[in-house]
Amino acid sequence: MLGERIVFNGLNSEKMFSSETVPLPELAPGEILVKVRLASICMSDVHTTTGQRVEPTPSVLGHEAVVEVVAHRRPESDLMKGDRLTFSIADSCAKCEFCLKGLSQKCTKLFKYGHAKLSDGSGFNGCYASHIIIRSGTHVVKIPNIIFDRCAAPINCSLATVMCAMEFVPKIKNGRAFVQGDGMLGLYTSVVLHELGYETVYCSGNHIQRSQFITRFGAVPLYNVNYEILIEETNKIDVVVEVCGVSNVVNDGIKLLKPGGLYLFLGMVHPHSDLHITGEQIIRKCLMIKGIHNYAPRHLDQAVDFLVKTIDKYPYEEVVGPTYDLSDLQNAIKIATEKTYARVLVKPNMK
Amino acid sequence: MIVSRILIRSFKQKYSHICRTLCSAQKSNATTHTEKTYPISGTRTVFNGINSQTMFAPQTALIPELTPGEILVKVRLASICMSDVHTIRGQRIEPTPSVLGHEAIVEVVTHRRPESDLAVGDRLTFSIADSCGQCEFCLTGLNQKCIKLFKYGHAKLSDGSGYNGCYATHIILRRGTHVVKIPEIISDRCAAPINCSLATAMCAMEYVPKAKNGRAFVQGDGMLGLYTCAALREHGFERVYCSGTRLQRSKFIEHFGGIPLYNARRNEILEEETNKIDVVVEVCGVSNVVNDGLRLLKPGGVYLFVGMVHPHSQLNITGEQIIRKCLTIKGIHNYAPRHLDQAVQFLEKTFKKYPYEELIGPTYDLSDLSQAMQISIEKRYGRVLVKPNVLTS
Repeated sequence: MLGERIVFNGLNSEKMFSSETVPLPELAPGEILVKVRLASICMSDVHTTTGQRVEPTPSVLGHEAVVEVVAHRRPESDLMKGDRLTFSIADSCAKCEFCLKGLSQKCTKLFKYGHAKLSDGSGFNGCYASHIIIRSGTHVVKIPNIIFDRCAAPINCSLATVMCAMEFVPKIKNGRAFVQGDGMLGLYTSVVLHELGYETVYCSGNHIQRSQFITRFGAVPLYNVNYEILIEETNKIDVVVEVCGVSNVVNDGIKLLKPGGLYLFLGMVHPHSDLHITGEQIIRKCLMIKGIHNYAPRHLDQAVDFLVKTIDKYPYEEVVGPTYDLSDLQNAIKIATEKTYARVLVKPNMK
Repeated sequence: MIVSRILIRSFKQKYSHICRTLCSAQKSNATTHTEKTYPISGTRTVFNGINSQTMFAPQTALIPELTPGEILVKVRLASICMSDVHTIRGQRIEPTPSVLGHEAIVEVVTHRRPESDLAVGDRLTFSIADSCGQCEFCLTGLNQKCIKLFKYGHAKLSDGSGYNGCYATHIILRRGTHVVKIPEIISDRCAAPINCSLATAMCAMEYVPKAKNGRAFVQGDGMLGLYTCAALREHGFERVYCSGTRLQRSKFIEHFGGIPLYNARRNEILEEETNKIDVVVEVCGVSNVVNDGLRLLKPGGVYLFVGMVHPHSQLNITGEQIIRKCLTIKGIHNYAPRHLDQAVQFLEKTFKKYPYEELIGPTYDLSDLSQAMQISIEKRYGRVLVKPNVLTS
């Protein structure tokens, strides 16, 4: 059987992306051969193609997708051909100290789909392809029928990461939260906080066209009125979540937090994230800052559960943009860069 | 001689209060816990600010009658916390005039807490923070951020009774102040620093996870650093490094269960233990150690910030460093009532195990406060003590 994959050759290469069709290797024990039903373009891939991020090359990018079982070697599981799955971005060993304490994303033998060299494993390591070979240390979760592909694709990066972040959010009576960022992460974070019982969830960002989505996801959109609210809510916010990737919002966040408050950092996983804060600010208000990078297997379960529970309640479909054929990947990434949509989708063999 | 050192000041608006006090002292005492009948005089060393002609000026003043919930205590021994040193050096601003000093072991003279089991003569430690017990912060166990917070040693003279700090013969403990009896086994010298340094360390420990074969790195070799070493060891941490600026503290660090790191050895360990430390604790007040701390921490690790509660604590770090290793940074400022309980319990349990006495330096008379502060600045001892001569009226 043959599979197609779009190989990323690096920014300075003649052809940044080149298509390659090769035989699919045989499965090793524990592996699952899946075909990609629908992949979504995470902003980190956009950053890779604009040079803000460096990934090994050559490689197959793409780490968000809903996939379908073609064949598998997990006899102990209840997997069947045709099952729609989401899967953990991190392939982990389950035995090292990090896996054992629930921090699988920092496994000593970590492998990440969409972030691995072509020569690693089967080479079918990313979602911008017709197939992926899911490795034996990868947690998978079945997608219930009620969740359509368009909503399922971003589960295994964006939504699962938000579930990981929520693990640190206390249930607070009349809680107030402030979400800094109106991308996919920001929208998911808003809705999860809303479902968690937070009374007021503010969401600020750069894309004023997202206002109506923010409202429909249970939050109060803040754009140009930002500064008034910043003053009103100084020292009154229980949880601030940075999901915009920009470090200069942190001073506002710290000002907003009440004593004992929690700041979650999710977005700014890049070197240009200098913080201009003092230790005093953190100490005097007894603040907690928690860095969230990726997630562990349980968060993927929680993500699917959450989506099942709320799929009819929120307009998940509508925030996801158009679908491009795999061969138009470069174009799709360009549209993703414009940030008109929270997500742009890629589907192999559309034509 | 004592009299000659006393400066009698006019009481201004306190005068009418004193008159009322004198009158009511004639009435039968509502509680039967008085050692002496009023009026009692006390002496307090008033801090007038660093630009004042006399930075410290002793003042004898009548001690006001207690209101419900208050406790009149005499100061047995006070210790000088580094924050007071910073105040007199201008690195910290406190309201003036005020009575500084917030670490002390005290003794009950009289009280109005009939529901308690306090007795005259009881040795006590007390919470630096007087809190309301009802606001959202008190109710979530963050009393040190009470909306009606009052802090001993940090309050204006005109606030409350004026007997608000430990550099005095007496303190009037307010009704929102948690107190804990000091077991006999604990000497005054070791008890004095409980209610700032040790209790704060206990608060920090609340955020330290139990880590099997845990490794910790304590940045700072002052009182906080040494207490933290002992606390981490007792918590089950297998290896506790402690770095600082005073090489002479090496043997103390060892006696408190830590591995002292200075100079070249420190740099070696920084390399060797990169990404291997479960908990780093900043207790030195200096922000430039934070980059080392972040490097040392393993993924999922915890960084406690305790010392650098001052504006010159600029951090030179990135959000990426925190995110990529899924780190937790927790700011610890003061503590809540439960931590004072824990501090006393901890000290009682480990009193014979660690050389607490040896950390404590000489005792100065209250009248020599300036001198005592000077010695504190030199940082030769973990703590310098101050003992008032108790005046009788």
